[in-house]
Amino acid sequence: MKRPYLICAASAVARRELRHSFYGLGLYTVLTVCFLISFYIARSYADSMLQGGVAISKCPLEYPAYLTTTILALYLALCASISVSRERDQGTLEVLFCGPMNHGSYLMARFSEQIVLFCIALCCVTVYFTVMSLVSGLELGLRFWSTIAGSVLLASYTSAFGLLVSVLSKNPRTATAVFLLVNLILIGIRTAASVLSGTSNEVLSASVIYLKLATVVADRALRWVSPFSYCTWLTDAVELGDVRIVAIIVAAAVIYTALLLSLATKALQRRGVRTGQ
Amino acid sequence: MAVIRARHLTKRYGKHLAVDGLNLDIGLGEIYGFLGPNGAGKTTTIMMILGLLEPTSGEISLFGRSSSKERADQRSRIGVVTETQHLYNDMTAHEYLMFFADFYSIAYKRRKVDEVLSRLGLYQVRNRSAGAFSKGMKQKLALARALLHDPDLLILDEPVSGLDPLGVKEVRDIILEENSKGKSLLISSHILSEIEKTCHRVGIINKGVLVAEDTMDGIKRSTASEIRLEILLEAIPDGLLRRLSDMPFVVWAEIKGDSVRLTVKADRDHRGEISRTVVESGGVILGFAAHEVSLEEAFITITESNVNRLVKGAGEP
Repeated sequence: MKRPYLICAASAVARRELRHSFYGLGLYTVLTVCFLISFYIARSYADSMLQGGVAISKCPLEYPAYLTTTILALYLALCASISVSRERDQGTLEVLFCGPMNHGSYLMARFSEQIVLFCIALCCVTVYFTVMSLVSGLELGLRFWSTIAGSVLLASYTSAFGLLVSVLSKNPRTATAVFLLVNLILIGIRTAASVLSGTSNEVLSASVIYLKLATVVADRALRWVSPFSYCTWLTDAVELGDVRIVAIIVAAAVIYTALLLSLATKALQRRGVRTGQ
Repeated sequence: MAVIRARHLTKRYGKHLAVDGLNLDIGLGEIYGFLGPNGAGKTTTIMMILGLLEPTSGEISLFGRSSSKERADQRSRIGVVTETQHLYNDMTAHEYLMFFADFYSIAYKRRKVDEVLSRLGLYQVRNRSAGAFSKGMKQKLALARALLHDPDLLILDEPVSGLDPLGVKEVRDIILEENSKGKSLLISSHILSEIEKTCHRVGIINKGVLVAEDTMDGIKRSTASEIRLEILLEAIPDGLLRRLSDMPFVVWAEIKGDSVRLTVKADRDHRGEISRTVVESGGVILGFAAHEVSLEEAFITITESNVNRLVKGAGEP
């Protein structure tokens, strides 16, 4: 019974990466940028309310929180997408695999490091928004808290996807390009669909109407695989108070994450731990 | 018990056969030298032994267990120095070894890390970043990592490359010290003089085929068809050179100062007959030296004859 060897090795790798992330500037830069954007949006809400006396949103801090957690999750997933290919490129992956480490435990180590890091960053985000709420008088509300909770699903899904991209890519540059391209396509379709579906067909030309139809259909299809949908769905389901739907959404996100991690493990087994293998 | 046992190990990359039906047995407490020219299949074999490469066919067992599912656990008993040193350049030597102490779940890790750093002569530079290390220091740090968890088997791929003569001696001493504790070692190296000084047995691989495997003496004997002898005499008696040249096993003879140099057939030990002939001719022998075949000469002979055989084989219908 030597299973603890695998766990110790994986935990050492996760801790090393976590320490590395804390010493780096990346996370702090992203958090600062997110906080500035959130502050700007919240101030706009507060100004509108003061000037017009009308509440723009039932939960004004939900959108800034969604934006912050999404950017944060994407940043960490981008880091994940570089991680494996960079370590394979540098040859340090091979050294790790000369010890008590297997493909699954290595990817679990990288994944847990990402999730722990996200949860720590999420605590900072929560503190920031609580302070902002206290200072501005803007209510946090149920949708805010469900966005915060749902972002963990988003982070786990995107991180697992990032790891899969990283395993499949030849080098960190390709991994970054593929990851950004896929996410830009998902975000682009989503944005185009929401903008176009809100516009009446009467003001659109025939070709734009076809484009609208295409983006709406693509958006509907991609919603099932897009990580961004799950966070929104969860927030809506929590507001409706439908526990069954909440459970289905959580289960679906967990299954997708597990599936992506299994695929990444299989891909790492096939591609090997050395460059040019 | 064989620590490493490989049977009919084959690795194919498309049409290229990197390792061809290799059989290998490395026993407990043995130092095995794994030799071969560049691209012979040494590193591929090591990678398959470690489970980092899946063999196309064949079987490997480590410590008597052949399940590939247990390979990660078995690797906790192996210390590895890879051909090229890939370290975490952002870590100091001390941090690097502390990380691997956690990785191998070593008890009293700080003490153990300091001990290994001192043993490899890296204690003074322990707080220096591994990225700033010279090639030799990186090599030593990799060896320190391999020794850290007190493994039962050490697999060292070019362990002395990049080291100065003092470093080479230090590593050789460590290899012999580890072996004296009962550890088994598989050493792959191009520095044949080091292999000759440390290994009990050697295997020579060429174009993926294990072309020779024997003890050090056995390998040398198998390649030597002739032996060179040098006899130092008080004075050279008249007619000695002719009498020696007439002996059926003497291939070539010459006189150089007060010495007679002979090349004789290596079918058996002829030194007794030669000594008697010298004495009967009135010579007084002051010294008798036999030039041994070095591992390097044996290696070249074996690999060249193997290449010739393979070339001939390829040309045959």
